[in-house]
Amino acid sequence: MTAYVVRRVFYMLITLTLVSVVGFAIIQLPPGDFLDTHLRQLGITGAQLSEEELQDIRAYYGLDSPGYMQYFVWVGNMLRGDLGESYSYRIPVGELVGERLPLTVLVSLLTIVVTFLLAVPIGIYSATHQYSLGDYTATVFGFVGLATPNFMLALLLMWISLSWFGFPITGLFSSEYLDQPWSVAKFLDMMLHLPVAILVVATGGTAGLIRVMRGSLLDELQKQYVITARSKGLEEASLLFKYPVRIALNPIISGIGGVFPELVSGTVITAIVLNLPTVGPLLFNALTQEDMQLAASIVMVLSVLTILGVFVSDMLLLWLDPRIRFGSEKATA
Amino acid sequence: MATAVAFASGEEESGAQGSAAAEMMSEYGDVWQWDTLADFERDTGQAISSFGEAPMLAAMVAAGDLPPVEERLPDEPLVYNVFEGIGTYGGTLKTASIGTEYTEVTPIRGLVGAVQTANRGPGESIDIVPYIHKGWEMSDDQKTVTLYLRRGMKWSDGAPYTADDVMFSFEDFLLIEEFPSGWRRNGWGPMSHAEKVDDYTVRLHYSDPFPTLPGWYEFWGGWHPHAYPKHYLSKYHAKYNDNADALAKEEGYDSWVQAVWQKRGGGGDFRVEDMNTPSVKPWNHEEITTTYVLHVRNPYHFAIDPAGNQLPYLDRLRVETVADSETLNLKIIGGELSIAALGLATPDFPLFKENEESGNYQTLMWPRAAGAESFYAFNLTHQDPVQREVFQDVRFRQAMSLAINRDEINKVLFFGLATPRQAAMDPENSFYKEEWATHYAEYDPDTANRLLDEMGLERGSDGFRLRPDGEVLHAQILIPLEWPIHVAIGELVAEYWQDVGVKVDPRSYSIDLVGERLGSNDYDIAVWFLRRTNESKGYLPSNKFTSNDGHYAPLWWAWHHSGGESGEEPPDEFKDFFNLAGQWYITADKAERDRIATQLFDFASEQMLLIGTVGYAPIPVVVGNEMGNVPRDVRYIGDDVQFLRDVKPDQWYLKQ
Repeated sequence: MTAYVVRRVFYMLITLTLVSVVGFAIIQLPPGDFLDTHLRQLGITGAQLSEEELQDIRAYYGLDSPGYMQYFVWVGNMLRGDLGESYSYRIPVGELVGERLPLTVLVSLLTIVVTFLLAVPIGIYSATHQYSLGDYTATVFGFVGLATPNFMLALLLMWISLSWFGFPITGLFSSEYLDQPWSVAKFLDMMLHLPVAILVVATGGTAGLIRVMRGSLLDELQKQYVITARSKGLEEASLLFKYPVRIALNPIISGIGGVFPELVSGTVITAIVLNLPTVGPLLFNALTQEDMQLAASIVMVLSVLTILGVFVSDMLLLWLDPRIRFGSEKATA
Repeated sequence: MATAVAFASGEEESGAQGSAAAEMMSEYGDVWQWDTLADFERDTGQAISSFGEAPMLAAMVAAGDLPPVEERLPDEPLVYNVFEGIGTYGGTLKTASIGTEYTEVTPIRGLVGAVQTANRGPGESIDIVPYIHKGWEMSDDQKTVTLYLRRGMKWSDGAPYTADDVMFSFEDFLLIEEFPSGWRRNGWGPMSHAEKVDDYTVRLHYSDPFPTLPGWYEFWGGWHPHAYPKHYLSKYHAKYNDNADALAKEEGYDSWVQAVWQKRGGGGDFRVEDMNTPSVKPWNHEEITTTYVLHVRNPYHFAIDPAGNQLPYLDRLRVETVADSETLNLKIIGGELSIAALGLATPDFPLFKENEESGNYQTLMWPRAAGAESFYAFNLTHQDPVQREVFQDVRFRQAMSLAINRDEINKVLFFGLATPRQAAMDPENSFYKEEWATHYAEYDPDTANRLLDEMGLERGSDGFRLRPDGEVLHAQILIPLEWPIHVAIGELVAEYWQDVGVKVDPRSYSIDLVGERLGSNDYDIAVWFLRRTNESKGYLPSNKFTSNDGHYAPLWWAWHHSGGESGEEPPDEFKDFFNLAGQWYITADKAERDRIATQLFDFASEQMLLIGTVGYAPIPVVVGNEMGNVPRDVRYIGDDVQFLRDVKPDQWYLKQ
């Protein structure tokens, strides 16, 4: 068991190194750099600079050195805990990400919980009541949920909340609390705004998970051991939850690791529409502005979180599924 | 107490004026401003003996943290007239902008200018008036300008603002090799040297006549402050501090040059690095986060209202960053914002109008100083010789212009409120010719088809016209997707062009990619706004017709700029055109300059360099009912008049 964990940690480090190289390289791929982008945007409003003048300014920002040098400087700083400074905000990346990470984690965790609370029972119900009215209803809603773009749903809910309840949801906070320090009132205000955000982000995931849960449970229910257990008179509920459901949960649990980055980056458009102060829109902006330091550091932070997520989900599987546990013990023995 | 009196009368005033109809005028008349207190007292016969200040600052004075208002104001404050009436102090103005790049645009961007535009009501002329500086004077040969500073004026930290700060910005910053020269050119034009006359007078010398200088300052002054705080920056400057490099490194910079560069602050070029850098803006940065930027009042602001109250009235401005225009719209109709202007689209006007009551705001339509909301430039130096041959035929450009149904664009996208016209200069210009705006601007697809037939562009089996080499003539409009109006107009225009058999695709790309492709001559048709067309604004060098910003012939412009080193040699008529354009800016004699301008724009018009659609479209501006002193009608809004700067945010206030 310990050996397994140590091995996993070792792999994680290798993965992170590779991610840092690939991530940095991909972000460098688009032509030009932050200054090009920035000056082009300024160009809209009238600024003009020649190429040589641009070169001068580039030198100030260390953007004139070759890409691999920029990489080493960045990695070196990161190892010392310095994530660099965002070109566009002129604020240390650590502060920028730190400002948004807690809310991102909060939204993500709540979304995962909501997704599971909705998807697992519905999935179980659909599987055990296959082709019933309830199953069809769940299927229809599931597919509609899957097919509706989240941002569309977000826009709809925002509009509904404004026109029916006179309550605009354009972010996690009401206008009057935006620049205020944390207080009970601000927290309650956030709690009013959270459900819409979570509902929107959760729908897409829920619909998919219902299908997965339903499918894998159906597979299990047809197996011999279920029929045997049932023929031996085991009570339906304890039978269901003790064996097939646990096994059917496997693909869902192992997906947790992937859920987190999906919530951060996969829902960027939703977060943009809902104006959520999460990391997704920040990353999106950084990428469009070629704000290298910010984008690369966010990608790194997300990678760490993903890899940790996968690690946690593997540990959960180990705990949930004795077959894996015994398998790994055999392998390391 | 003087403060209390001024304050109380202000409240009465706002109460009385707040309920008045849209047509409002201050009791002090429609004077834009009085450049100094002395001017005010002379013109109105009134004397201001004591000054009012914001309760927020009065509390700081009482606590001993701030000198009294009399000492903070310059001896010669700007007296800013108010649009409606004397305002009340306090409150936070809430606004929002799309994306981080533009958070400073609304509404304080441009408030660092030495001069400003008096953006009077519709039909009025656009004048450039003093703002930070008391005044300026051009020499007869247009080669020297004398700047007069306000006596006793102070930076936001209380240090005196004098000629030394202006000199510092030249001698120790803009004119020395260590710093990029482009900023000098942009901010100050082709300057040769600066001369300090006394503590409040500076003379700037130019090697060529620079007749458009006030307009140039007006525009660039919004981006490049005309003085940097010497007292604050000199400790980071190697000339004043031998250990400047060490100090810079200590603060995390690579060198003293970088430290000064980033700390100088104030301009529109980069985000403020050091929030402690003093400025002379009405509000300074207080807090920058990824969701909003907060600005707080400058206790040393140099302007007062006609009752002697120090401006600005508003304590704070909060500019929220939203990532999406729909979110911005929801914030507006939900009544969350005090004012919203930039980033609003004309087609959303009904949405704003419908929700006025529940959102407690008023929707105004302010015309934008755009001679063309979208113009199209066919790439005359196209990489593909056959494509180029087609584009270079002026009949082709004429046909393309005739094929556009400008009235329909106006009706469909602008509720008929814009002006269908060719891409042309501002009708207000002294050298303006009406025919520039009407040249091939009517909708006449039959003539367009005839011209294309004459060119020998026959239709292929699928109805699309073929190039001389037998291939389908296929062109892309390169549209920056960040500007939805270009996308919307582009879709209509592409249809009109397809109707006359020219296969055109409107393609939207991120502005970065658009810039990349424009820069590498990898495009068929460019699209952009035509702005900055008013002659009194002066910054003519970046005019789309007379610079490569029009993107109609990138290789020819490259040849011209590099003196023949790169690009391709243009035809003689274009060489003459480019040279004449250069001559235009440095011709001191007004009559001669106008003659050149006429010649230039005759050529541009005849050549159909830029094909226009509609211009002067109004954009919605949403003003909360709690806002006071925001004009209902303006001459223009847009970058011709520095966004909201020219509706005087200094004197806006929140009604109690």
